[in-house]
Amino acid sequence: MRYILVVIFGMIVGHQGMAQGRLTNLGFFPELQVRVKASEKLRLTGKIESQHGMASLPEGNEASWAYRHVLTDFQGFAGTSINPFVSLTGGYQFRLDGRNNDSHRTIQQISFLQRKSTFRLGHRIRTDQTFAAAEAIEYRLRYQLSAEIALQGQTVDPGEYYLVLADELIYSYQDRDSGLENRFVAALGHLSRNRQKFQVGIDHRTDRFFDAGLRQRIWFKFGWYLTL
Amino acid sequence: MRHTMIWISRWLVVTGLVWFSPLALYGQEKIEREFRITPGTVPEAAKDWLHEAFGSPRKVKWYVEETSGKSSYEAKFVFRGATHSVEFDLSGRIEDIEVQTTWEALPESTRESIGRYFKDTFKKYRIEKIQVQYTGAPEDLKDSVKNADFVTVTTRYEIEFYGENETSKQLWEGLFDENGNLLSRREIAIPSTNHLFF
Repeated sequence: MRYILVVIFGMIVGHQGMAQGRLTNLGFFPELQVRVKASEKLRLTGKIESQHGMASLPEGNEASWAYRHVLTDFQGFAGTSINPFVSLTGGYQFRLDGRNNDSHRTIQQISFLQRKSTFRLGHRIRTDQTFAAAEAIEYRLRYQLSAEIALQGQTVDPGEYYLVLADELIYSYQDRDSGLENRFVAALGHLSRNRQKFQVGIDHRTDRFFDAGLRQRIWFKFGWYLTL
Repeated sequence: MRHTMIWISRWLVVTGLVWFSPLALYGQEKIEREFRITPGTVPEAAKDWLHEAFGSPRKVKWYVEETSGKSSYEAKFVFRGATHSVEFDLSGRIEDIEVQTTWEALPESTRESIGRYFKDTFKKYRIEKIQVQYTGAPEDLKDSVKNADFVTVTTRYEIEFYGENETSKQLWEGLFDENGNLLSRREIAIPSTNHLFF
């Protein structure tokens, strides 16, 4: 537990350093996810997530507070387990963009689960390709490390709370340009007795590392996850 | 834009159908739960037995475990360098002692027998966790702990393992007797990880 707290502290301190970026966006990020076991081997996941900007704070300038629909993603995944710890998944996403730059995305991922005494670690390696009108295809390579920490026992049981911490590094390539993005999520979750999970937390995204202006986006995230 | 809205509407309808149709199945779910409690809510008999057997181990964490309608108290702590889990019934009577151990610490004949079971049953296997389980009369268990000698009580091995053969790739919990013969095994279901990977 002490080790976990040190990691959390390190992540927070690290992100405080990044908080000196040139542009900061704030907003809400609701998420809805449904997972279905379609057959012994096949699992389907449907997901809607939507970003709603509330404020933009350029460094050294006045903050501008205004509502803006940033994007809404509709995602569908089909996956299979190689064994209880390793899964392969393919997916598709349609993005409804707030600036009319709608896009399609194909997604491939492999995930690994590690079980520890009071927490679980998830490793996700994902590649995706984004297709938008009048733009070159964007290719991304992503790695996410996430941890689920039981708060009321050694494992998360129905009716209990848990903590989720995740950090993802994303490398992107588009039309000979490379980009790097970091996403850190800290959320408090609750597993209900009927297998629904509710989570509220912060999603902190930092990108444009290679550009003149570093950008950070801080989303107040709340998610509803259902396994049927 | 119109096409987009139609697409979204269809997506929402499909999601809604998927969402609500199997809700009636929830009642069949087996509920297992373990949650932390304060020492003040533990029966005195359990705390007394623990004190008499183990002295005053540091950092004892108490839990209530609910499995298929049966509840018990469980104390978890480290004693003589090993993680111990001591289970009591609701009146505070000792039920069993489980001590986390390693494959190498098992008697050689037991290892051979359990290893033979793994090799005969699975193409590939991996041991995740081993606990020695001691059961017996409260006084015998107490004396065994004090003397670090468990010959007067029943010894079993609870092993969590991954096993892979032609028909399945599963995580199991197997209970073996002191000679390494399989007494029972049950499949361990891994709780959903959708919030970690999507």
